[in-house]
Amino acid sequence: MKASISTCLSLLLCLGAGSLYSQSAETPPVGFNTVTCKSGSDTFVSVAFNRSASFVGLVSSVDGAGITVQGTPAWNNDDFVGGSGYFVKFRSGAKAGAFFEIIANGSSTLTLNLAGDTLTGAVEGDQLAIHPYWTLNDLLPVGNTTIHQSTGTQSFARKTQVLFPNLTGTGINLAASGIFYQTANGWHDALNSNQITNPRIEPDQFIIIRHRTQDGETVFTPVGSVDMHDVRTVLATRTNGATDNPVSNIRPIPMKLKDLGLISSGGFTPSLGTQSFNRRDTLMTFNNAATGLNKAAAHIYFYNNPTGEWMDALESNRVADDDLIEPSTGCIIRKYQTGTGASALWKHSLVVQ
Amino acid sequence: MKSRFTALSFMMMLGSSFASTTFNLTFAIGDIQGLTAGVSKAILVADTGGNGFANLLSNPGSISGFTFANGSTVGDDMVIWSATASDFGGGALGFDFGSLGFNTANPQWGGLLGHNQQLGVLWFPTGSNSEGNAFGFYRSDLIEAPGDRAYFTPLDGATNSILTLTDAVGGNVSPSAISANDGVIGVPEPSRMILALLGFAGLMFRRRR
Repeated sequence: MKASISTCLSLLLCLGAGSLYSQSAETPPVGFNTVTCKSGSDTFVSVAFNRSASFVGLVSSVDGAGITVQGTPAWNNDDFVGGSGYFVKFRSGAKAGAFFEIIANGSSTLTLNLAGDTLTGAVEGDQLAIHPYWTLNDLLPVGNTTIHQSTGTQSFARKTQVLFPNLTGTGINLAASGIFYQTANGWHDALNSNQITNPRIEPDQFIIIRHRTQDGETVFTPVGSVDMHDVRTVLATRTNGATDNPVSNIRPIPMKLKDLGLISSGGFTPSLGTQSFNRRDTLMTFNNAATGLNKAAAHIYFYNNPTGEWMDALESNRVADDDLIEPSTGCIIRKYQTGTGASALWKHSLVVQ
Repeated sequence: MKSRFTALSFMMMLGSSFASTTFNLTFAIGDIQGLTAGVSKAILVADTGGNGFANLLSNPGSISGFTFANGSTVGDDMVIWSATASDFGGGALGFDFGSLGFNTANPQWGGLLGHNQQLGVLWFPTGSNSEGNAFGFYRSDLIEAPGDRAYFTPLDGATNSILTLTDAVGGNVSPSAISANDGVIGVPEPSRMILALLGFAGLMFRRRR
């Protein structure tokens, strides 16, 4: 899968627009990508774009999981709760790149689900933005041309399925935590009595579009605002073995392995050598151009600390510093076990040259 | 050497006992003649005994007595899922199990369920598995469209569909392959009965001498 020419043109526009950005008037750069979803195949896709910010402002104060913003936004109580939900993303300061679900709000206050994290380091003057989450309905509404619509809820009537990776389980090779398909009535949850649903998509996750063999190839075209700020992803570990973290390249352009910030941010544990027993964290990518279901990784990358190089374990430890991680696709970071089970943080800053 | 092998085997057993496998499965079979919607029942059985289903089918008596609950045993195999007959459309009846996530570490499987085990489906037109009731059985080593997996439990982390459908409901399986009655629970197959009769006759002959 390659980024289309239109993607590149869009990105140029985005980069130009980025310098025009100001806090008082949000004019987010907009872009799109295209990903081909082959028939009889699993296609790993992610959005790589945000939905437009509902609010951009500055922190006034922080208290535990609560934030008061500067000014008088005059929100109604729980404006940002319910439906698909909203998240706060820090754009500057010590928490730059971090995002948290909003679970309550007052006229100028936000209560966040920190999910084990803290707001320590966030201070007055830090910039934040509030975005609605993407959902399947927003991304792929009824009538879209990416999904082959199912004719009914019965197993044999289903066509395209969308698989959600397990974001909360620990261990490796985790089965999908959600299986969804679309009928004329909307999205159905196959693992929960086929009830109508509209699952939320986390900003840094991927989803898998599974077409049946007898259904034709389609194109997935995510559209949204380009995030020009830092992005931070939490990577889970455990004490009794490796654990998989389904993540995506959140930038809408192909990124070189060496430019992802995995090592510089401390999010990725380097390997002690090239031998298998010296491997630590690995990054697995998948080939959307290949046909098949339940695909094995096409590349397994690790960072060889003694030489300071990225290598591909599936290609005789070929040096892979310049290998590209495509946008709007998905990958898995398999974290090596740790002594405490503490999460690691992968932070990426976009450098515009 | 023997002790080494034993130790190795023990370690492998430990590994297989505690290894956790997760997978998702979607399963449906239809249409099947002789079913009654809402009454007829079916079970998906995993070959946890590791010897296929020949023993089960050659000894129909072992089919009775299990409950339709997940984890119930059928001979040396295990019920992993059950369903009730429903209308697939236009009066074509079958069993739509739906979709389910499995974790082999779940205590209900007793450490016996794993990936890549043979699967088979047993159905009971009357809804009863007590002696004297008819049953049907089916499995296939081939992937049957529109499914994407033959009758095996999926690999670790996989999400698969097993769909056995006749052309009446969108598949290509011969209707005769999934007939309603493959046997009667508790009644031995003819060859067994012949053997039993021969044995009985032999006994009588011996007693007369």
